[in-house]
Amino acid sequence: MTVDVTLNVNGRPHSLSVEPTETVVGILRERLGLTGTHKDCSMGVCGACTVLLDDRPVSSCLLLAPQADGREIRTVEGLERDGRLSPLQQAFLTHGAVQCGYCTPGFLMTATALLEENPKPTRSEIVEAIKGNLCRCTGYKKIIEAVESVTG
Amino acid sequence: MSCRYTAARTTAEAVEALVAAKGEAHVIAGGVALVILMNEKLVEPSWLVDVSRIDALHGIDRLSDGTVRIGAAVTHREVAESEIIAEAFPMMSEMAAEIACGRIMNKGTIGGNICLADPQGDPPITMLALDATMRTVGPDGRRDIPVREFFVDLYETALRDDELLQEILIPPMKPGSITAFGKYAARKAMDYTSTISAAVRLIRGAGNGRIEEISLGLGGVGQTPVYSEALEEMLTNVRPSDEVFGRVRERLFAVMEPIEDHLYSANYKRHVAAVTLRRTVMKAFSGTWEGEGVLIR
Amino acid sequence: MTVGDWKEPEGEKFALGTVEEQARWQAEYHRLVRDTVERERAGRGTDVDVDLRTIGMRIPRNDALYKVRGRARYAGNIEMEGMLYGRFVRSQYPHARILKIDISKAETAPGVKGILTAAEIPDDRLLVGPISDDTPILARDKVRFAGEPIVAIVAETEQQAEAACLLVEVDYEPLETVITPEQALAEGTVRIDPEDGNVITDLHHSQGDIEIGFTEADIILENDFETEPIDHCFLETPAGVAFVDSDDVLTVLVCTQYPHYHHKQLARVTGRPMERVRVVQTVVGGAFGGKMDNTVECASALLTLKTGRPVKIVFTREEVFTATTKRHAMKIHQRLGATKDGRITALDVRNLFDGGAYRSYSMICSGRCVIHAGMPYRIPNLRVRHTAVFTNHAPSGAMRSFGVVKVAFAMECQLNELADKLGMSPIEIRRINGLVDGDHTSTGQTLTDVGLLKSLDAIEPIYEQRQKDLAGQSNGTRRRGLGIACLGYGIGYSGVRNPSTARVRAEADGTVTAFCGTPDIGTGSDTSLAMVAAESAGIAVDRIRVVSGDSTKTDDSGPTSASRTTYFSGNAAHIAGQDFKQQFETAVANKLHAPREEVRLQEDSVIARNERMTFEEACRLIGDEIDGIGGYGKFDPDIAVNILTFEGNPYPTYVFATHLVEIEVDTELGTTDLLKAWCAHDAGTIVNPTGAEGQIEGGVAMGVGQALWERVVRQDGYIMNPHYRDYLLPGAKDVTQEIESIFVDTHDRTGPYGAKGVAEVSLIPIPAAMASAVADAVDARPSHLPMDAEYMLGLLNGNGA
Repeated sequence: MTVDVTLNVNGRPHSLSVEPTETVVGILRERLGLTGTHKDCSMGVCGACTVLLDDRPVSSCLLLAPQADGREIRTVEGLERDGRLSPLQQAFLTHGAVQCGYCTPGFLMTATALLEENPKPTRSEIVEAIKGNLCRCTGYKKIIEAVESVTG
Repeated sequence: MSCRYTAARTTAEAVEALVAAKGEAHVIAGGVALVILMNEKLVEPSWLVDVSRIDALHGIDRLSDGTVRIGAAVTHREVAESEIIAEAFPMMSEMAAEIACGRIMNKGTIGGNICLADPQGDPPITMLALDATMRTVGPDGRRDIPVREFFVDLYETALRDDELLQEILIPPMKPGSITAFGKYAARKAMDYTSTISAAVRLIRGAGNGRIEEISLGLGGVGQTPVYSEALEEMLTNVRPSDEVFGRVRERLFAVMEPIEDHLYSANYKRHVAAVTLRRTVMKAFSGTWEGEGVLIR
Repeated sequence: MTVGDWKEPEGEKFALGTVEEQARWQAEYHRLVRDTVERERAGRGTDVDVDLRTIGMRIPRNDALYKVRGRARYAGNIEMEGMLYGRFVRSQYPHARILKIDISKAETAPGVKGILTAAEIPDDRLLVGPISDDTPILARDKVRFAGEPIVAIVAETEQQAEAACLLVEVDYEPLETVITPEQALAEGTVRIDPEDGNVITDLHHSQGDIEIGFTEADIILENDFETEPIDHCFLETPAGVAFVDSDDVLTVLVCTQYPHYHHKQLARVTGRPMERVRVVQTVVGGAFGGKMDNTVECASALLTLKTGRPVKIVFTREEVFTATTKRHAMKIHQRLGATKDGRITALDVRNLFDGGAYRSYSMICSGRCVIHAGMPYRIPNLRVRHTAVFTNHAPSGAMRSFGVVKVAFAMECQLNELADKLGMSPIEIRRINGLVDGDHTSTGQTLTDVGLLKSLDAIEPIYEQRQKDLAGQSNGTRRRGLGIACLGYGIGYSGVRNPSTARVRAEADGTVTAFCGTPDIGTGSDTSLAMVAAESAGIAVDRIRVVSGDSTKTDDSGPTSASRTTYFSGNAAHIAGQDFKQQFETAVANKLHAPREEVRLQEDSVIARNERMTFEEACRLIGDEIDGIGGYGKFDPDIAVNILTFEGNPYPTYVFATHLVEIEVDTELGTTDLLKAWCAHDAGTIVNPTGAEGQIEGGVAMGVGQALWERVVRQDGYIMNPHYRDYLLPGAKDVTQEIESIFVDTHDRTGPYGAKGVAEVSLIPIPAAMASAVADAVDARPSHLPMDAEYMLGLLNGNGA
């Protein structure tokens, strides 16, 4: 059977007919063309597919589409405002927090949620927030520094 | 293969679907365990019963007798942030705050975790130490299952196919109770295989020089989340000492059968369990703790 | 996107994004770079060499704009009209004869559009490989490891292809499985390879007289070391899209370190002429040596030719673990002799590699391990024997340092034990034996611009201070320790010429494009190369776009590997930039009828007869003739090594470093934590400090993983932990943020602006330094990687390895 759902992605509603077992990462990438949300481990470990569900980070590889019905999903494509990068995106650029970039959207979403909830996190709060996102290139230091730089 | 999907709004709707599915349904709340299995093709559900939007499965409340009620679909994050829980059972707050990472805490639920009955699970052993009751709902109505009867075998609980875990009831602790939770993991985050954990509730006596009473749960040491009356007995009415913990360790080695995995042998796990238990008991008993959060190191 | 409209103008880099996106964000990048340059200039003051206007600045990466927007084109993101999706049927056995492959049920499965088996690939096209063509695109008669591809299927959806794969029936006759190198070498063991049996390579190298060396020794240390197989764990799984474009060019868009390699291979495998093939590197989500072998390329190409439709194949994480190359499991037996005043007199090394089922880069890794045995020290008497053998494991291949991390683990642990036994500090023993200018390597190469001792100098005061700070601090079950390890590493291919080229061109609007042969695999090399080209041409760095990673737009300049891009392609970009500058100045002089020597292009403007014009104005002045200007640079140092005698100059230059780490061991649990790392590198001139630090910090993180947890667990030829749940990678809480990158003041006379490179090498000393720090903390010497908690506890309890 299929289920009719409405996914509000980056503020825009999408009415879709989905298999109940379809994951949001697949829908974002394959049906909505939002390929900034990356896919890797498919078991919630790596964090590459992190999106915000009602402002909180979740693994979109473990999020079934019907469970997101009617809820707000935000992806990396929704971080810009009027074509301008968010301060966090800008900080990732200037602090060298991006290398291969595959983990970057996941880190951006995780840190965006942190900063919205806690605009002045301490370094250990930053580390705690991103502890579940894997990066194989940077060693995390510059990612942490980038987040720290926008805490005002 | 096509899959049916029921977005239940009430426990009655959920139970109706479970009955109709004749044991073929999979209940999904947060989905963080089930969807991994689906992605790995280890489970191909033919009927998903989504209980995440049932009001009765939400909320954390203190009842008039002091019992704390936690809805089965309450997320780990909600447990970690609940003032009621922080006040009543501090170790549960700490434990929930250290489950995997934020992404998983935001989605995974306490009920889902308990029903998974993973021997490495953290919430189940806090239930064991706190003597909680699992309240289920099924076609014949409610059933209250003491947690010590709930975990039956590897990934198997006393829950029947047509039953749903609705809420968890945790009785108020006896006055003077202190709790502590301790976890060993290879890394400092995200480990969920090969973890060893201990949940402890104890009361001190004799001018705080003895353990008067203790209840505990151990994770990662058997086929299920484990409690041990024998260990509790060994740690009751004693002054905790190297000798006492030596006996506890011997007992652990004699009776515990941890699952050997890709990281660690059963013997190493027994060793770690003994250390984890001792450090966690001492955390409750004397406040000494060199760990970070609930991590024992 | 359709097959017809994917093409982009010559000067665009396909991988970055659409032409519109590139146009939109280029302006943003200009602003960003201009701001950075201004800020850096203001901060530099006047004491900086005026000739280095760009080199040394923290220029932001030119691809990060796409990456932070989620718009970078990783291969898995690319969709095309009419696209089919491919999956593989893989071997269920580690070693078996294939008796029969029945695809009849799969052929009629829903959505299936094409099935490829080895039966339809001609003999002379079936086998591929980076060094030896020995690996079947699809197995035909025999499988040599569990996970080896046997059949490839394309269907309308990935799920349909997956489902169809389950319908393929393969009849096997299981063969004896070879799972250890010792077993492979034992008499009577089944032969895995029809030609070479079970030996991939058996290398011997000696210098001086080993017997005399040990006679001279007052102390001899003899130890065994062992390391487990590692996975690269690049987060982006191999992925590619193949199609035939509107000009009948077979095009493969793929995440790779070496597009030109695939180009040649695909021409052979498809029988197409070279000009009818194109390989375009997509944005690479990490590689670390693991994206230089055939994975999706050949099968997707053959299936697009067979079906006439675009084909996309994306590996799952499990496929990465089971079917792509691994870091070699290695055993090292080492005898080290020294005088009592700490001078090394002899080193005898016996290495054994588990090469897995096919050759891949085993030969290259082996050669490097031989040449680097004893690096970076003066070893008067050396003997090395290195054997790599076949087993029924997934092939072992290239991974960050090509095996040197393990050689260094053994060597540095030995040296630290020697220092302890002789009552010397680890700094002192290295000062006595460390290579300096004028020294000869074991291959007879004379070294210049060696910064090893400078890196020791940088570490020494920190080490002494921390020793004082830590004195008496270790107590109970928590023990702190300090460990030092060095590295010496040759840049580029081992003893084989590997030229890099670059071309620099301008357009009438002032845009400048540098075409560089080596691709950016996530390290930021495109940005470094833009900086070098800009510096040499005398123009602003933000003007330059780098086009790399396209086999038809650039020359074959070898892969991005072996830390070679900054040095090799940097030199090429430098020469091309200078050439461009010359030609440009001449063109302006001609237009102005001015004497050639009175025209200079510098700091982004042209000064002609004492008048200044902007670069754009000069471009307009030159007009159409600008198309005739093409700066060209080729860097092809004369390197060669005799692989029988190992005599010669295998590398044009070497990098050096000293790392100091501080760790804490919980002696009751056996766990180890890295607390701090100080990494002093002789990398020559640093082109982009942000990028260089990023490489070091990443290397430290990877080193922590290899030191403490990472291990591909194998049982009877099967990989037991093909996922991140049980293959443990370090997270943010496991890698200290207290990593200090120190760049010592060195200048390589042969490097672009004195640069050598950093890249992979930062990983090399970490496991050795951590092991030595453990020895310092707990008085037990680890000899096994990873030093996981259970291993450590055994060691602490005296159970040995």
